[in-house]
Amino acid sequence: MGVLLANNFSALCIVQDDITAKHGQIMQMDAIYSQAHLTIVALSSQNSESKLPGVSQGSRSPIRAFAKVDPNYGFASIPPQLGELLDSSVYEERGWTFQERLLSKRCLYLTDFQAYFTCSTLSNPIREDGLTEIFGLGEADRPKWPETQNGTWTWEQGFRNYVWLLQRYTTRKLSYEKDIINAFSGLSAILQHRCGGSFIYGLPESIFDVALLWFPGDNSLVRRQNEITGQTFPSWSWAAWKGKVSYLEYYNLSDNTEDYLGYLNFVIHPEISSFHVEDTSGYRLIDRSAMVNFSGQERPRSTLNFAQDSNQSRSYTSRPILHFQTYSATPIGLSLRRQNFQIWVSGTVGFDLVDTESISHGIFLGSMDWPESFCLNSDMELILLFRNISSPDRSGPNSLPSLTGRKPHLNTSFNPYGYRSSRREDSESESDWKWSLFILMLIEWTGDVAERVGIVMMYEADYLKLQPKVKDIQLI
Amino acid sequence: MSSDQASKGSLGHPEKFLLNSSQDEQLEEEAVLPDHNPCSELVRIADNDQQYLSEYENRSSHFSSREPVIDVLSRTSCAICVITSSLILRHPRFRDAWKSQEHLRIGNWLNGYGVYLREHFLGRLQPFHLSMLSQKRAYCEGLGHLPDLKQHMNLSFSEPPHVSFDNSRQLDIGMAQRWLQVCIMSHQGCHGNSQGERLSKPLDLLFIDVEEKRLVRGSSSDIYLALSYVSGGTQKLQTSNDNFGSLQRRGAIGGSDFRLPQLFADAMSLVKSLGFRYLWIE
Repeated sequence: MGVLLANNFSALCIVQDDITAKHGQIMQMDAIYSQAHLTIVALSSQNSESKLPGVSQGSRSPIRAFAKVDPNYGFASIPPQLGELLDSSVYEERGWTFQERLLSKRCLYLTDFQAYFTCSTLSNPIREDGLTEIFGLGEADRPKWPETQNGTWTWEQGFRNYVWLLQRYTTRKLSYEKDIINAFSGLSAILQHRCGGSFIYGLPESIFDVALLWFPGDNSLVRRQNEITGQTFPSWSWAAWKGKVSYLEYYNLSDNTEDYLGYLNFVIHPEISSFHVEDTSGYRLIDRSAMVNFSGQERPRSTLNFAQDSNQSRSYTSRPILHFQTYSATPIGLSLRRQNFQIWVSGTVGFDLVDTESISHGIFLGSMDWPESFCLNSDMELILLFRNISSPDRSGPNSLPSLTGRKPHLNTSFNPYGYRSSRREDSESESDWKWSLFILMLIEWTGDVAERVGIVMMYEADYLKLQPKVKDIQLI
Repeated sequence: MSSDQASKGSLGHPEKFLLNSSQDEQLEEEAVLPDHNPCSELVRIADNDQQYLSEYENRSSHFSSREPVIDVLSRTSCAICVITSSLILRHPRFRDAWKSQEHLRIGNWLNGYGVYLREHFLGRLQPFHLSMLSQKRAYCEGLGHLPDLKQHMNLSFSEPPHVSFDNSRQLDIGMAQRWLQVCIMSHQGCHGNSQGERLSKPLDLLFIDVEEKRLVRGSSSDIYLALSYVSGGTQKLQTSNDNFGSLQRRGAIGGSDFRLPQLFADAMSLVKSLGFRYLWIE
């Protein structure tokens, strides 16, 4: 029986017993679909027992309706646009089909209404009824792959596609939860090929620390059920969670390139110099080699050497462990309180990190699944992942020049987090909250390992009050 | 395929649709709306044409209403304008869309002027097209909205008149082949496989030979079609080491020992009628 994949499906062109070959083909799914001369998309079919509309006799039925106004005027229904059919199809709700359609160079869609044709060149589908569509595929459209001379992309370009794809992919359903990374592997193979670096439990290795900053992009994000035969995904990977996953607004794919580049004014600087991952294949350094340059600076390379005790028994878990060192602080006396408005990306729910006097110390990116009010317990800690250097005239080692040469986008109107530092209360000056904004991860310890809880934003001054100390973190 | 299908509009030139040939003449003579009439004013309002709107502001004192749509309605005798304006004025959903100017579009649509509304309803996009193919006929899409129309417009429903596209027929194979042909002949961008180039050598694959109904060994450099479908179903059908040998025998796939689910059988027959031989199904 297959370990890597669900094997309860019909499978013709993959030999089921041959796990190595099978896994190889799953990883090559991008090539299989992108090399196909044409992909037949069974858009209206619910499963493999369905008819392919238009192929066998009587598989389509008339859908036309007509309303007469007077002898000269009338309304007649016309088959919907392909994008609208996609939006309402079971096909588009499923995980595996996501990459299949996106990877194909030509698609013939067979639907209950009629046939449609798309290819990489045409921006609008062609229809069997001969009508012209002018609205593309809407939400179901392909991502805009960057066009570069040599065909390679920087991760900054690739990251936008990664986010675009992930936001859509993670809303989909899988028959087998453990397929969550496999059904995305064709698309990650493209990113890997174009941008370099591998993927570690769904996160691009080259920009690993940025990739850790995912958060709930919808009302709900719950732990994916572990299956007995399946892999267990680490809490720091989006794959371990069920629901739409998104990234910070300023990384989000915008249709307007200028808008996106404008966000580069918001400079973040990675705090952690090296990550190691430990799983069944060993203990290794995560190579953040790509010049991601969200910060306009080269990434800090590994300077730390973790004392690695190979004899140490890992009896507590078989899950992959992420090792790194960073500041950590216990959020004593703080609790999370749901904001009554949604922030950033629609569906993302902000929680104020408040103290006993209801003064906000930060923002937690949660989902509606969280209780409205939640006391942080003593096993929880806030660990530092990134700093945003907010003040252009700030001196010291944390000061970074802006990549764009413009002054960092930092004025009193710039407050994307919906909260003001608690210290602002005792300050007269607006400039006092032009501090560094820290991007933190809330984790919860169980023994000597911790799990990710979520992403938190806090101003430096608020974080310093918690008296953070450098600590070795082992995230499972 | 029948000859009337073969002679239907060529790729990218959807001149002939919906109406049969006796009505085509009407379509052609009214392809362009005159510049100064209520119809085109409606188009300009919907397009948020600032020049028009400021002109309207200047002369609005002469009219009874400051609402351009009502104004058009009061002056027009065109049935399309009456229907469109009425929908906008009476139907809250249309009215909101009109105000926001985001989802309602009037313009050159379906080779004629028309109104197009998209709205979010229960998280799904609900299409509604009201298309003015000519001033003699309007078409709408969105069956769900027809009862609303009926209510608001006091319309009577009947069977469609002569239409040239009948979706109850089988897929026009000739047309599908032409789509593919045009893409292969003229689309440079569809030739290079944007992702496949990473392969240093072709990938070994198993295909279904739709001619001989058996599994064959091939590679990703062969010409093959792929099927993308929603997996599931009652039948569990797998190639394994046990049956791999027998499935390579002629006629084995779809034969008595290896009955195919409907979708796969249909896909094989489609591949064959399109003139291809190899099909890849996960």
